[in-house]
Amino acid sequence: MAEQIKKHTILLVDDEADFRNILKIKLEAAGFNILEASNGKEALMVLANNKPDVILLDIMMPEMDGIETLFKIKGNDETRNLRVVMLTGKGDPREEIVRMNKKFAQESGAFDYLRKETDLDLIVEKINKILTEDGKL
Amino acid sequence: MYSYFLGINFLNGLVVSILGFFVVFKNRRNIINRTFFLMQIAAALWAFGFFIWGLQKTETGLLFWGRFFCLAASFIPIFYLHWILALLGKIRENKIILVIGYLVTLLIAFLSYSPFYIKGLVKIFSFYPPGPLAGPLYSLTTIFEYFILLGYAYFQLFFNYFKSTGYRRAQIKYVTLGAGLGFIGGMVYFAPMYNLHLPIILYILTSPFVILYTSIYTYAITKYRLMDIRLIIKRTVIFSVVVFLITIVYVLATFLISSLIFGKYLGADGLKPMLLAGVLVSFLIALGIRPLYEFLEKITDRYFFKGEYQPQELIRTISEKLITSLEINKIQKILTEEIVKAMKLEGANFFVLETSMKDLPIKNLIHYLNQQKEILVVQEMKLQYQDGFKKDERYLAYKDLEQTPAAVVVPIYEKPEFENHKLGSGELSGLLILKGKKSGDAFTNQDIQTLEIIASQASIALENAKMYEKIKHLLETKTQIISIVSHQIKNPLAIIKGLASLINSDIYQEKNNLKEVALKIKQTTDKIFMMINNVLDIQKIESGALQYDFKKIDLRKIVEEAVEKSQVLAKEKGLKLDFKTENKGIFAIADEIKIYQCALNLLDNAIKFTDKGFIKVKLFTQDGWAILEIEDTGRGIKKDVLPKLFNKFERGGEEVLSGFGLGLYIAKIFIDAHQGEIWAESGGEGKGSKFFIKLKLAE
Repeated sequence: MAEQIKKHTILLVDDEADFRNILKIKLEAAGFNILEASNGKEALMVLANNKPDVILLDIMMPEMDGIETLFKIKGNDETRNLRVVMLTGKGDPREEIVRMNKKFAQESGAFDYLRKETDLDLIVEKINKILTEDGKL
Repeated sequence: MYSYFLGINFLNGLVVSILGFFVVFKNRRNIINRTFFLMQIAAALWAFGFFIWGLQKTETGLLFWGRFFCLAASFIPIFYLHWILALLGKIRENKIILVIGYLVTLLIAFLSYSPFYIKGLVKIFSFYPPGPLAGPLYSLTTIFEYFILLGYAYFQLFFNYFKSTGYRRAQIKYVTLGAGLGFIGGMVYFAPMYNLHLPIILYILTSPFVILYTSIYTYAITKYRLMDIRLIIKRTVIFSVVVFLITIVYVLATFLISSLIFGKYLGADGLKPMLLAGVLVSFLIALGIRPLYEFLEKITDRYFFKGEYQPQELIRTISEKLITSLEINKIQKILTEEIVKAMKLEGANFFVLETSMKDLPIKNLIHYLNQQKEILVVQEMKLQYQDGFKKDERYLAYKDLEQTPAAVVVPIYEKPEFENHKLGSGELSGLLILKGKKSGDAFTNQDIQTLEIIASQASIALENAKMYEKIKHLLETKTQIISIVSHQIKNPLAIIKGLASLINSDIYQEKNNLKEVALKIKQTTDKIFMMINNVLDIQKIESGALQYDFKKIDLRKIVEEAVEKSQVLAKEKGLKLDFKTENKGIFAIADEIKIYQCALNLLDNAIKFTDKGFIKVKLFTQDGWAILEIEDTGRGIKKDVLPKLFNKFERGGEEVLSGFGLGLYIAKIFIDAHQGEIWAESGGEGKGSKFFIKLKLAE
């Protein structure tokens, strides 16, 4: 992994520092470059200067939650094409997103989701799959 | 003309005596009812005497019955005076006058069969037998009774009229007016006794009304609640008319049937057809009497008592509707709407008594009704206290009501009671407040008795509804807890799982900091335990099973322990946590574990919501209170969130923070149980916050 010429960057957005740490350790070990944010506002600030390959976005957060952050990311031309994986404690978030913004869900519903308790290995696998789809791997 | 007077006098006697009997049976022990009865009986004897006199053919008979009705009439004034004094509550002050009045009246009665009383007979009307002619004693009697006794009765009425107000005043007015009409009418009958010829039309007009007017008007006001009289009048009217009609129908029918039908076949022998017809008519009347009574009742209701309702009907409607209602709002609506509609009220309100009503300005009322279970009629209370009634707790309750539009207050208790006219038992659970009637009439005994029954039904409905609300609330809480717990518990579990999977991979084995990971797992597990404990506490609180163990304890030790425990978490976040307190013990009567839990909860929150800066804990005494202050430099609390911060499931206005939002709610319940206070202050978002707990110092 260290032989990768260009390290791919992942943005971790979660208010739970412990959880962020675990993911960070795992993903760094998997050879990714990690950016962190503890809520939606911070995430948008990070995105102003960085274009991560994948964003892991927790839904339940204070200040600005994951869904609002997703709307902001997808509503901005600069960040619209970034790949987002929602992390959820509840289950499939799509239903809620459709309820909150039908138009958004129809036009640019391009995001994935994972349950929080998903095995760390599977999270890495998912990221690799996305990168492959994007032709980055 | 002869039979008109004969009939009218018979009817007068009938009506007057029936009314008298109804009144006395309504309440035999009341002196007002008893004296009224005596007066009615005297009047009835006068009327019947008049009737029988009219039937007499011999001189002895005429003289005897003429004397009889004069004598009966001579008792009316003293009974009337007695009644008036009873009504005004002035018997004691006027005992001597009453005794003299009775003695003189009795003396006259003894002498009435002497020629000094009735001289002889005199023929006035061509169609009527000769009547009694007044002797000197009669004139004396008349002067004494009608001028002195009646005069005194009127004097008392007038005297008290000006002294009284409101209701009482109206009563006196009608007693005076009604009786006055009656007696003035009666005066007409003195003329013939002195051989004076008045126009016949005067007798025709006054004779049927004299007693009717007197009776109805005067008694109408003898009781505070006019309804007694309503029922009495209604029964009297119906009863009299039924008797009257039956008599006429019987006589007419018997005559017609016997002569027209049976007469033809059974020949002219009058007796047999009469008997046969009588049997037949009796049978028909027996069949017809109930429908006739009901028909008359309907007619009387429609024309005499337009505002009347059927109590059974109202009770049935309300109970039918209440049975199908489980929501307090609906019960409220049914009770007020149905009662307002039936009794034709200005309005009504129904309050469910809750702890939140402690602040309403009806403390005395609630206190009184918790002790004395009775329906309060505000107008009656007003009268009583105007009359200088003892100013006790009931008076304070009245004071609460004085400024409100309430006319009647019906208390609803926890447990219903359908026997002994009791309202119920247990604590006061609701108040049904009725405004006055649109007509301005008073509430009747019938109304009050109906309300008593309705109160019992409302009590059941209210308890059911409360139970239903409680169960609904418990269910909602449970659903909410399950949803939040299952969701929130995932975060720490995901962390534990993540840590485990890191240990399992090569990453940590290389770095060899397994100890740190173990600590993290322990902390995260603690978090889960705290959440679960909170849930268990909530469950205990909701089901009312929470126990407190109050002891005299040093608060410093407890707070110190909590601070100690929180140091680890604070250090980890790089926060400075310090604790300042006084040198001497700070003692309070408190439950050690609960206070520790509260302090820990506040500290936990402070650490959770503070990313940089410090947390300062102070424990100090002030004016007999121990105050715990926990200040942080964290996120702060929005102004609009502050007041609801201690509600269940409120999480600082944000849906998502770890913990269940139950911590502060539980802390508040604990501190409330200590009769202490818990509150928060904050300059707003991003400006940090201060949490306070205040407990009374032990002596």
